[in-house]
Amino acid sequence: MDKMIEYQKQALRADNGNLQYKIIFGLGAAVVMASATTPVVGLAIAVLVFYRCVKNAKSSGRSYESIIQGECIAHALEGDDFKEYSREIGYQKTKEEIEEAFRRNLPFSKAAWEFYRSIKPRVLPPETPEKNIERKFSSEFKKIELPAEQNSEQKTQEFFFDSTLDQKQQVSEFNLLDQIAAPVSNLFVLGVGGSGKGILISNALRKAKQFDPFLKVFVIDPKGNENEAGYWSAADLILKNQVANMTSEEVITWLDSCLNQYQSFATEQEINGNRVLLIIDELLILGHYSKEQKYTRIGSLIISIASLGDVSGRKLWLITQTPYVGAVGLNLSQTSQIPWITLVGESNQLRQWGKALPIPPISLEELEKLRQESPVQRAYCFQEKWLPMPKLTNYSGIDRDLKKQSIYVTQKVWENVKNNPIFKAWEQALLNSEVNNVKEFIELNKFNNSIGELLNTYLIPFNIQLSKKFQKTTKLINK
Amino acid sequence: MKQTMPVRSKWIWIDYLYFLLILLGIYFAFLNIVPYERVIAALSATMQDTLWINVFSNVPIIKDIAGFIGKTAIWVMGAITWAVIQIIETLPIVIFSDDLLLETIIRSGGKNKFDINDNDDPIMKAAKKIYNRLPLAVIRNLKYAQIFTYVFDFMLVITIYPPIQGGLADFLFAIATGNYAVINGLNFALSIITLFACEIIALLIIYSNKLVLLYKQSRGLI
Repeated sequence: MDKMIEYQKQALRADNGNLQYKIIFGLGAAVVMASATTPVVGLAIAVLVFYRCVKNAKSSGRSYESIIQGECIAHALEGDDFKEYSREIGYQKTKEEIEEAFRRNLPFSKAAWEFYRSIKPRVLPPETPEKNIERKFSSEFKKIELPAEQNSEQKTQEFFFDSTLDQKQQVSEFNLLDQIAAPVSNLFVLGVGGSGKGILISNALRKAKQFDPFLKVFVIDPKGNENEAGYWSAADLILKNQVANMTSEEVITWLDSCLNQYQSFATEQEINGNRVLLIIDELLILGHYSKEQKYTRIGSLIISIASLGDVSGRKLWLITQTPYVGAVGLNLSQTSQIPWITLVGESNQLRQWGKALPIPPISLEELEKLRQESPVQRAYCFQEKWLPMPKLTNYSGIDRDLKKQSIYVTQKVWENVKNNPIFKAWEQALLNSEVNNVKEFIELNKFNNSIGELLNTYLIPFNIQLSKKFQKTTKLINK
Repeated sequence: MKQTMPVRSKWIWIDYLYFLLILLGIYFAFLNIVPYERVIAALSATMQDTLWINVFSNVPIIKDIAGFIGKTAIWVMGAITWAVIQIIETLPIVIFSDDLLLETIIRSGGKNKFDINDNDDPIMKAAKKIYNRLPLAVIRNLKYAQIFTYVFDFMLVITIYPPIQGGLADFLFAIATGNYAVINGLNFALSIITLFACEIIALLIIYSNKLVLLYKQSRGLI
């Protein structure tokens, strides 16, 4: 209670704007303008200044009242006070207070305004997303207008939809990411390789960060595939390793160090008033090694976050290729409070998982129908419902369906790689050689495994680009 | 149980500085009374000559006494006007700087003294509502009071300390023609001092007081 009074005091002090200076300098400006133009203009400015100040006083008065009565406090708090208060009362309560303050048209502090901007999509008018989209959708990126009573600065809600998708898919995408990530909750993501787990999680991760600016994301990536680095680019800390090339002892040592770092990271973030989301990719392989080495820490961590995470603000996303969680020392009853999202690309995957799958049954025909409805030929099950998977942005370096490099990440990777001096040297050597393509270049130079692998990763995707450059250079030399 | 008297802290250099600051505040306060005194004097001069005033002004000793009383009364009235205006202007600073006062306002404003029931008479409902909001009324209307006071103050200082001889029209003309040399800089400075000096001094005194306490705490003097 006393602490709350301290916040109320801070809010009242923060809301005490410099009205007196605004009046005096406003009136002074009116006098100057009257001399520079005509007395009528000066008088108009003086009236305007007076009107604005009275309006300001009115909203400040209402703000004082709501602060003193303890109805809305967050909207007036600045910087660290806002953060501390938000941590004290919890994210949901802060959100409710900010929404209420917005509805009452109370003046916002900078911190409150930033918070409001982050939750804007959640305070849309009470209409279904379908209706919003139907009303405003066109072939271009669209802006959705809020009701007229909100001022122009606060009006614009931006939802970026891909014009290549139809409305149904847009709605589906909106609902899916919204349900998973806004607000973020514990989650098991199940799907075999290539079913779209990475794409879903990378989109959900961005959505979660957009929804909650105080969310910090820690990723444990045992695959360490550079092509998939783009999935995690929105995370705050990524620990990756290629466990496939490691012994089980090495894997467990690395995993243990990851968990130590996670504990330090989470504690530090909590002190700073942030919430922490832990993402563990390839739980199956980590579970396998944990079982082999009788390492129980990861299982204990999952259970503790699933059971006590709400208290500390810690959340967990686990990505796995199998519903059999026994390997990490878990059983389904221990993790029953964690919802599953199941991604299915091939219909026969369901048969392999059988009864271990914590999802409602679906016939193969129905599943096939859903897959056909999906632009990416996938279906997903979440919250007891089977739905077609919408098309989401691919942030990785590869499109597994088309077996080609994804434009989004290759450009990003290219930007990073092209300025590397070693790469430049290779590129120069390639251009100076008499080979016809990159593959020949690698074979000719008999690169060792690691260099060959890097060249395969970075050069082959740009084979066409380099070949063109190569041809151009050859032509120049010939001339 | 033996009770000990609180030990009065010893005066150190920082106390003298604080004292000087208060003296400076008093000086500016007196300086600030002048424009208000002039306004009261101007208003008093508009009074019609009455028989009694004519009689007293012709009696030698009484004339001087009456003149002294009149001038003192004008000064006192000017000081009262100044005090009212300055209190309204500095009230938000005082309220928001005083922890205990702010706490009392929050505690008294956060709860309803009278519960409003659905079966209450509409007039009773309104009366209860108004009464419940009374503790908040002061703080809620604080800024309105500030606005009107500052507007009044602005008009007062621009009249008493005109930035140029000849009134506002000449001032506008001087600015429009770029003839800044005719602007009275002293009057301009006095206007700013009259408008903001008390507020700035109040702020300085509040923060200096906190600083003095902290300094003494750091040296174990209190």
